[in-house]
Amino acid sequence: MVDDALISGIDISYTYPDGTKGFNRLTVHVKKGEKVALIGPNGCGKSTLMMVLAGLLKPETGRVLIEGRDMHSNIDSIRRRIGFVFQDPDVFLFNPSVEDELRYSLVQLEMDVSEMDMLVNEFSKVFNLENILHKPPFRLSGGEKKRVEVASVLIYNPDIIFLDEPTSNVDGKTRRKIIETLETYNGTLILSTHELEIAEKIADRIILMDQEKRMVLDGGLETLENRSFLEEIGVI
Amino acid sequence: MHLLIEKSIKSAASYFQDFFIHEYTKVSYLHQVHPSVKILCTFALILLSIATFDGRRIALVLISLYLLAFNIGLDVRILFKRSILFAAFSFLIVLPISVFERNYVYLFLFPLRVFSSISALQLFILTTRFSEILYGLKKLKIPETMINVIWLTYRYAISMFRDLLNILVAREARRLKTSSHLDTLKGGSKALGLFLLRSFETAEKIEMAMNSRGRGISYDGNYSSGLFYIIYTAGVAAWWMML
Repeated sequence: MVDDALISGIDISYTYPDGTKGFNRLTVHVKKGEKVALIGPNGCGKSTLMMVLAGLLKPETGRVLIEGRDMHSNIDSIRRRIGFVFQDPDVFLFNPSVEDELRYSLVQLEMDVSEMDMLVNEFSKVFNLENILHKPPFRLSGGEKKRVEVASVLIYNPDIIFLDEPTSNVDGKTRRKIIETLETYNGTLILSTHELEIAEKIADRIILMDQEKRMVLDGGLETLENRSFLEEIGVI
Repeated sequence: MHLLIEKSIKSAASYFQDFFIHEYTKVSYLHQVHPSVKILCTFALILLSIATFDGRRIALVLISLYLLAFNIGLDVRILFKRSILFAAFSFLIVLPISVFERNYVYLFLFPLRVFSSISALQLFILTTRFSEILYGLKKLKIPETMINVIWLTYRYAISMFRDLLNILVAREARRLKTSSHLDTLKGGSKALGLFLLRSFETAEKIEMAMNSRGRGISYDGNYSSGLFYIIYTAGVAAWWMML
């Protein structure tokens, strides 16, 4: 185990109910404050790996540690430190209105009402949600849903954020807004993407996965300069 | 307590979503058998399971099913996992009847029958795509309306359980602390309302997708006649009658 790791997945594997291998026996360590991008072609296991590291799926083998403590036995105390942005916002949004979505986590944190109102106002302004606050989330456009999802996670300021393809299916304006927000985020960030531009802008460490669901490279941003290798594993 | 209830609903949603998933990562002997043959043999095996209260006969069917699954290379653990819940549920259902009206043997034989018949059904589902099942039913001259009803139920059930599971996973991902029973109930009822609304939306989208892609059922795979499977099932049935 790496001593200063915030999150460690040690020898972890996951298999879906239909027998599809999510990934097999991977070991990954993420330090506090690191911004890690998981890059790989579609179906290489990035999303599954993130869900296992975030404690949403239980690994078939191995274990996930957060600050050296087992994730699954301490999940209740750890959960408030983690935010997860799903690839498909329809999965994430389940409250009757956008405002309820923004308040959902704040209510659980038993925040003062005036402070809560202030945060909702602030985030609805930043993410341009003011005109849709009372709409049901499933009636929104793809870009609006994504903005609500990202705002609902950032609003409670978690230490660790997992983002699964944060800029998929969004327009240029929403994309710029999301990148801008993530660039200024101070915590630990783990994102999966197959867009190299996003990784270059946000991440300081790159983990490459290939179609065989293996981690083939783990390094700095210079990893992305090896275009022929990226082409070989199907990223570009 | 409410967390236990939520976890149970999540497990149940996951179970029912997986219940119809075909094991496509393997291509076993049974995958290649004509779906009509598999439907008939499965029907026979289910009938053999439920037509008796003789423990030896039920055990014979059960052992034959798991032996077949093992021999063709299916993961028997998956088969077991997918079948056990119904058996456990039926155990709870017959528990009061067994204690107050019948006997303790009934308490074990009834769930064993359920387990055996569900295992036969799961062996069929694991090795047959849903489109192939419908193709098989069509070949067996099952009325078109009935096939359409099965197709419709399957599509909506899958999307409904997927939606339910998504909401529960999202609630888990966004649960920052263990809340009180009342808060959970309030949150749960809101989520339930949205789940129903979303189900209507999904139903509409499925309908539109069906309109755009057509509703016909056709499959022209090259299947084997399944002679071994027929002989195997007939052998089990013959032994069953001799017991």
